[in-house]
Amino acid sequence: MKGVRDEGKRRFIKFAVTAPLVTPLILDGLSADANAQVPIEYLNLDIENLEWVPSTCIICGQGCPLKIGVINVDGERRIFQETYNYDPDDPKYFAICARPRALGELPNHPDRIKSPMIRTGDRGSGEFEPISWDEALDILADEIRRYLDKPEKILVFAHQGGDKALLTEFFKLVGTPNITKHADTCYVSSSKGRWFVFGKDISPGAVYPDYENARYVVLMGRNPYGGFVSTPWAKSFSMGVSNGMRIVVFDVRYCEVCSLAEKYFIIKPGTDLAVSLSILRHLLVNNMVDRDYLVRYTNAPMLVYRDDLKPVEIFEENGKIKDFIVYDEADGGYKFISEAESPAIFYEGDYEGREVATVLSIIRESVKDYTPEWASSISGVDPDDIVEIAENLYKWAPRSFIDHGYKTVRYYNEPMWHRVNALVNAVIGSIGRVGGWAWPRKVKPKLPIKFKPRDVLSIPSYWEKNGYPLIDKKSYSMLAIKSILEGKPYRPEMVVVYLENLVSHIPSSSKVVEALLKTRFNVQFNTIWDETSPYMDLILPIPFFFETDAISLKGASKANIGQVSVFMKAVDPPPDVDVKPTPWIVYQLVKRLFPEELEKFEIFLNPREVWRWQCEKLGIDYEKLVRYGALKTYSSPDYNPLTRKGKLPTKTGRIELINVDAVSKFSDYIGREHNLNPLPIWIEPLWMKDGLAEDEFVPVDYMVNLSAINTWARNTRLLVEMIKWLEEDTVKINSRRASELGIRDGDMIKIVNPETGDELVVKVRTTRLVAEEVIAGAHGLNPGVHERGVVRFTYMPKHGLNTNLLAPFYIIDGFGSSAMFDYKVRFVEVVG
Amino acid sequence: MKPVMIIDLNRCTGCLACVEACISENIARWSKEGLINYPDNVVRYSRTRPYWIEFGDTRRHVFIQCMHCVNAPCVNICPTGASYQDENGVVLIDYKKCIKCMYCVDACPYQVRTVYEGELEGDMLHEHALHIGYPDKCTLCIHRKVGNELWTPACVEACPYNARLFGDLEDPEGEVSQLIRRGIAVAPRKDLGTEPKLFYIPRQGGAELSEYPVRPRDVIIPYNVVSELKNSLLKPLFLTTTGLAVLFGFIHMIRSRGDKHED
Repeated sequence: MKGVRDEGKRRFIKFAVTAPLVTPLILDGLSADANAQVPIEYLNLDIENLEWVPSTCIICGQGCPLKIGVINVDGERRIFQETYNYDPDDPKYFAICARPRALGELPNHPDRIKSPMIRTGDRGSGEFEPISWDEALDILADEIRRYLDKPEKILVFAHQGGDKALLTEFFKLVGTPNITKHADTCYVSSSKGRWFVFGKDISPGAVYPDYENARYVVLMGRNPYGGFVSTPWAKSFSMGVSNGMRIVVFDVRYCEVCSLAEKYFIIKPGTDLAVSLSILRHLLVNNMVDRDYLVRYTNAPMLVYRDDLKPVEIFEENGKIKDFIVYDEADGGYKFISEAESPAIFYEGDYEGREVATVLSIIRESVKDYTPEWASSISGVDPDDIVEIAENLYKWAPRSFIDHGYKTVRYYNEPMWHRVNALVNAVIGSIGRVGGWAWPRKVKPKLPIKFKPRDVLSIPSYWEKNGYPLIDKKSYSMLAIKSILEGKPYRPEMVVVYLENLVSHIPSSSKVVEALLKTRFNVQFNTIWDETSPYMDLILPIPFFFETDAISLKGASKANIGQVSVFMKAVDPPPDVDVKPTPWIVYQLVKRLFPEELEKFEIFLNPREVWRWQCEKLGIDYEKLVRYGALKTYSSPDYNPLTRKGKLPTKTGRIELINVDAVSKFSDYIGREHNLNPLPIWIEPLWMKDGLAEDEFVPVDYMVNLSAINTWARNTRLLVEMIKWLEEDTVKINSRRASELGIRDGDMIKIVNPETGDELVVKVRTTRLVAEEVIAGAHGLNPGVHERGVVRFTYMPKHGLNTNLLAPFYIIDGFGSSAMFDYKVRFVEVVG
Repeated sequence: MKPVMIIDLNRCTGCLACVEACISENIARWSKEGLINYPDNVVRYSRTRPYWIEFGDTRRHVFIQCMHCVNAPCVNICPTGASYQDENGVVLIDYKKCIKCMYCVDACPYQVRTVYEGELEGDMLHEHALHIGYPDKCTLCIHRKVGNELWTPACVEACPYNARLFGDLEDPEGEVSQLIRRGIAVAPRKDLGTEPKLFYIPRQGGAELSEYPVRPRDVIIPYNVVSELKNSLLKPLFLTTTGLAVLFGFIHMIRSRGDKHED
């Protein structure tokens, strides 16, 4: 046990000797002498009258409702506790993780940016000095004014925060079409991978994994307890565990949910796709499919030509396929599905002289070589286990599924992998079912203003036509950096960073820095220093979310119920902190740049007026919402395979096992090992192409519920103490590999990416419960070389891992998302 | 009222919300400058903290904290009465009586009493908060108690997964007492005879309970012997000593008076 006091025997002897002497004295009441040593001064907080202020956490995209306990000490309001919030009529759902529980430290945090700062040294030096708000706003307004006739030269990175929507509307008014979020370095590979099946981007938040009602769940590279954006799902997951849900886990390391699993597998990085393909093969080869589901909700029975995969015959209306030809097993004829009595899901034959087959038969053929033995040779998972998992998925369907994952931009093959997982869930009929993948019911509060950017060529539109046809046009941070580096289609000259940490969050920090050194003017809106700050020219400090009313309500969706919550001010910033809320900053900029539009922005100076307006639009009781902070909007997720609308945006309106649209758009990729191939196929992760040398590793960072790159969680003393207690301020290396390389537990080692030359010093924990190929550490716990000048990270761990600091600047062709861990680093030496 | 706590290990995700809430309320100190100060290695001093039990290729966590035992070794061994049970059976420390002998720390079979002896600036937040240099332990957040009503400890309030339940064992209709009565929530290591009032709902297999962390018997002060010693030997010893003192005093007085008389 940690910190054992092993003094029992000695104490007992001492006791035996002293007790008879002491006891009479004590029993005689002489112990009062000890009083003099007792510190009896304490604040005696009036906890009984703690004020709970409802708000919403902004650390990640989920926006979990929380309550902040505020207490009055000598006339000053201070944060005492935090806990989760919920609709008072439905307290079962929602939660908060460990991250937003250190808010009390933040108002006076030593790394807080306390006033507007202007760069004084070279860009990158981290040298800044304070300036007044008037000066700062004049500088920023002048810079924006410079681009009013070419607004596309302004590039805005904004993803987080309660006021983000207002800032982006302002920059649309300025005219730039280049406003990006960061999902391309978070989940775009899976959302676009699932586009092939559902005809639209299915981001992680667009699926509700119904753990609470599931009987059998396969987690692949996903840890609902430790991962980001996970707390409502974690709550549902814990309810599932209570209900006896069986769990299987695949990961490159032992993680929290492995302890709950009936089996867990530590597999080679990026090889989960092989396992998924083999599961799909086993289901199809053994006819372990939900035939009725496939006929009713998917295009499995659709007859397509073998040579080009195009549908044999269709009835099309308004660009949508209303009917298609199938083989009717009832009478052995070809018919439109609307007329067929018993459409075949497996059939091969010819149609007017050309070979045809059903979509499901084509898929079965495509995966026929992916035997369990083959998957085992790639992933290291025992073939019998793969068979058992496939059979359990079928046995427990529809209350079984392969989890949809969250962070899904790690390896090159992730778009295909997540497509295949969706196919597995489709063939067993668990999509849109109780206990399977359900559809969340979302609420998206809108703003009372909306501007259109200038009609000019945007960065995403350019890249869509130049190598990235499935780019997420709202999230293209890497391609935006590429535009700066390559000047294509033009080089943005002004970068606006709103609560984003580009240098730490985008793979290949050195390329991001290179890009930020090429622009003319960079401005950051932030709360505390981060790795991006040194490369800015102007920094505008904004309040923490609990120090201001935000201008919009938040729709929280990743739970069994839909919910809306408020961002409400709990405390004022300290007197020595000169921060201004985003609505005020935007108002001042509009005043300087677009006085004719000023009236439209006045409402944002009183955010509660916006909330009231939004409540009216959403049909929510404003007074009740303000009283409780969170109100539900829907009572359950959508349990319909084709959603409540009864159709998906695919060409057929069905779940498409082979996407009809992709067959025509990406026909060149048929037969190729490529994520755009319309058929499910094996794609090797990049690191595997020429294997690993004996001193090489694949760097993998994983999520813990204590840290976050984009905000301040990893900078607070309390959370850092937790991280240290859990030894997550280290990297994990397989004991055998470490031993072979002469690395001992506790060593500080230097690792380098031989391709880029970027180095990092990390502290090692050796364990046998991590894949031999990887060096793994918690996300973003190393600032690398970016702590400079006045930019300090007082409490942040300095020797954990941040894979982005070492990564090459690699963007997945076709998709525009990252392959964050799909590269190699080399162990250089032990340095301490 | 007999307050008891249940930790549902099926619901618990190990998020550490309880630990953070406990530290924020019971361990942290607030400085005049608005800073929150913690001891180094503060999780060690949290009054509830995670402990991992390893078995085979897996490990499971439990949260360890004061069990508020009915037959509490710490109370039995305390030579001064500083460790005591209040009227509701909550084991508490009276710092005015504590002489820092630390016997209680070593007597606790669950090793949940800690002692912080470093520096820590700022004000304690309440009278039961961490006292530097004194034994420290879970108080079930007794400082939140108002009148004789059941209260909510900080860790229970913070747990977003409803994995911590707090209730009155004497309320037969309460969820807590029902879970205990039905044997769903169970106390670990009954063989120690301490009768804990912290219960767990174990995960499948119950390894957390069968392997529950207790100190090896040879490093625990044999509290039952000591308790017996204190009650059956030391008290009579004291009474005998006092009686003899009185007797000798009386004899001395008589003799002195006799001597005086002889003068």
